[in-house]
Amino acid sequence: MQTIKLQSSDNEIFECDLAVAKCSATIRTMLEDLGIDENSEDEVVPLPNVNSAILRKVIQFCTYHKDDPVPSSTDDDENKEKRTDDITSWDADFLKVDQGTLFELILAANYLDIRSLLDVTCKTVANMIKGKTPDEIRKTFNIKNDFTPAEEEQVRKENTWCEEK
Amino acid sequence: MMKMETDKVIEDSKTQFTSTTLYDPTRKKEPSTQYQKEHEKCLGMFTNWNDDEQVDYVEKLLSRMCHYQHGHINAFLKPMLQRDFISLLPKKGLDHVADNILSYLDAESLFAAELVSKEWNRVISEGMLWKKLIERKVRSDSLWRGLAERKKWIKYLFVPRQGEYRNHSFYRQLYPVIMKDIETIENNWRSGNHNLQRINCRSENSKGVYCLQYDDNKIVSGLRDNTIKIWNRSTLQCEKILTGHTGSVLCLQYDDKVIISGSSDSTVRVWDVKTGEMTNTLIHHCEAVLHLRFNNGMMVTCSKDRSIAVWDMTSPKEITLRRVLVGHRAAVNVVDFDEKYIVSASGDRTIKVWSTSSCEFIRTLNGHKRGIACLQYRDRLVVSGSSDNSIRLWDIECGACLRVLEGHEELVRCIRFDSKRIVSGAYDGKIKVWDLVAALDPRAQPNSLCIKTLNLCCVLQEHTGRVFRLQFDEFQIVSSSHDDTILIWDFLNYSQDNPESPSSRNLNNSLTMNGNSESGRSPSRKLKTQYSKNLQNTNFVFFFLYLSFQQWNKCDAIIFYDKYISYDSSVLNQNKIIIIIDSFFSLKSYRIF
Repeated sequence: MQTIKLQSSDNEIFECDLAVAKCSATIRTMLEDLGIDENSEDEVVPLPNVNSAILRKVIQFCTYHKDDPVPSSTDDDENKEKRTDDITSWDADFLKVDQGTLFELILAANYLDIRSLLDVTCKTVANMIKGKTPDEIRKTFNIKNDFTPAEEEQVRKENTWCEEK
Repeated sequence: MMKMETDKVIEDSKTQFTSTTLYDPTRKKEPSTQYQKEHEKCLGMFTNWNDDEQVDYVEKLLSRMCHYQHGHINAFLKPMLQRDFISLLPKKGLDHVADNILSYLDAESLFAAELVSKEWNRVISEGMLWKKLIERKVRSDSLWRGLAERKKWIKYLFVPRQGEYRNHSFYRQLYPVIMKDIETIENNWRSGNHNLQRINCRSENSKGVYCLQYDDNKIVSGLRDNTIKIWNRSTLQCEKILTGHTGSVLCLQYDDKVIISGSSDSTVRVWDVKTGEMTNTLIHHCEAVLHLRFNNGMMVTCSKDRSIAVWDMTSPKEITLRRVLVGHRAAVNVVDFDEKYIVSASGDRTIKVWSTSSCEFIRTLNGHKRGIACLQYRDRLVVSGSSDNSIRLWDIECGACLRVLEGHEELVRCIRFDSKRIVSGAYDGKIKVWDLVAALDPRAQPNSLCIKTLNLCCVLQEHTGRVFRLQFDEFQIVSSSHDDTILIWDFLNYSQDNPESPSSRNLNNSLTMNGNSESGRSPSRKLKTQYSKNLQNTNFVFFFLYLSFQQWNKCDAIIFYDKYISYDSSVLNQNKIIIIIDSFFSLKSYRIF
């Protein structure tokens, strides 16, 4: 099994399967386009934007999902219904983390271009918003309401249709 | 490359603790001088340890503290762990990720999200999330798709042509308009509110329209007078008459290339859908061809001769018989199929299921007490209509009858269903609309079925003869009947609940339409309903109808009536009338010039 070394922002070295690392389109591109030699044992891929705690989680995710079928192209994806109730139980467990960790996982998934991780983390955040009142959403994410009562009323009034139902 | 967030505390959230904190800083006592001296030193040492050591140390500290202190710590720890994703992501240049999160929201949640904060409101606005929500609905829902096309707002979606770009608030305001339209259509279906268009086929000798299929541009109908007539949807004029059959055209189906028809002359004929030219004749059945379906290079026909024929269609000219299915003991009235099963129903009271690939018989669905006239099959569901006046819903996989719908008073001749509704037409001249979802709900008690049925359906009475065939979609039913007419029941463009008085132009249009089709006997339903609606809205209605002499001539009657009054103006034969109604319940006077 071919392996690759990844270096986190805090200089920790992670050795993982090449197949796992290639879940990341960013790493794939580095290897393929930027001429980093896959065969040289000592080559280390630096990932200055991911700390070790998050990189460990990301590798865990990619190891579990490395054999998943390659997701369809973006066009097909546009046509798919946007569901949030299709998160697998493994993913749900994996994402039972605090919001700070979830946030950093999103940043890492975006930076490393791991589509499946970005999708499932975004869905998880969407599920935290779904079905809540504005006030419940603010409490969930610790957000201050910066609308004046008049402004809030204005936005609300434009949406009265929503409450008729 | 952007710098990823690795700091342990997000600065922005620091200022926001107060809203949820239980920790009351005013209760804090002035720290002792000893503490002030020592804590800097401790912090200094603490800072020099590594991450794991720091965690270990804090854990030890926490274990030495009591519950109320833990509560305090929790109050300032919890907000540290919270993140305002939607505001923070754009700050890192990741607007598209915030958009992606919000694009998973339904309308209600998106509305709530707009009210969270100014920043959330801005992200939703700049991300054009209402536009994206509408586009997703249009992509995934045929009702939305159809509405977008019919109401012409599809041009603002996806990548609009130059000049059709709209800002966020346009889409935000469009959404409730769409919802209102959908609600209105649903309501129109439930209440039976519709605009009616009528095509009189004016067959010479033998009258009756046995079969039809339609799309947005045309209606193709098979007639008892041996012809196939193609009607233009917008003008309702006959565009082509296809002749060749020597018996009534009993069934037909078309796609973008061919029309295939079956007739009581025992033949199946293939026509070019564009030119109307007959390109093939299949002589196989020895009695009337009662029904046919084709799809994906395969065709199934059935006949009064009790057999079912399975055909391979290489091209319109190369159609070869694959297999003949026998087993029914009476005429096979209807067939339907997909890649898994062929389903047939017969006058012998049974539905038979056959394998599409092997053509082997699989099972019989028993239950109808008399012959079966019509059926549709899709996914696992078969819905059949019978001469026992009932409709049955079947699970094709296990053969179980899931539901019996009763209400028609005569033979149920035609039936169609989509994901929401079943629409049935019967020899009692009625079309019934049933709620498919409710009908499939096994919790509905058998003894409440009849009441349920009344609640589910609304009965449309307009055909004066037996209903032979119908097709429907989200917006309309198109039906054909024994009385030589094709009716288009339009649930989308029913405008009568508009509180404004109908303009005379509209009235004129509806009469013109009637005049053109020369359906002399039937008054315009639209005019009738507008009139009665007006009575409800105002006590004084002044109808000013200008009708050209020609239009008037073509209508031999206009009947104004509602539940309170009835007035037949069939004696009128003038080019102008004024009708004055000045009270709620009575027609006080009319004058003819």
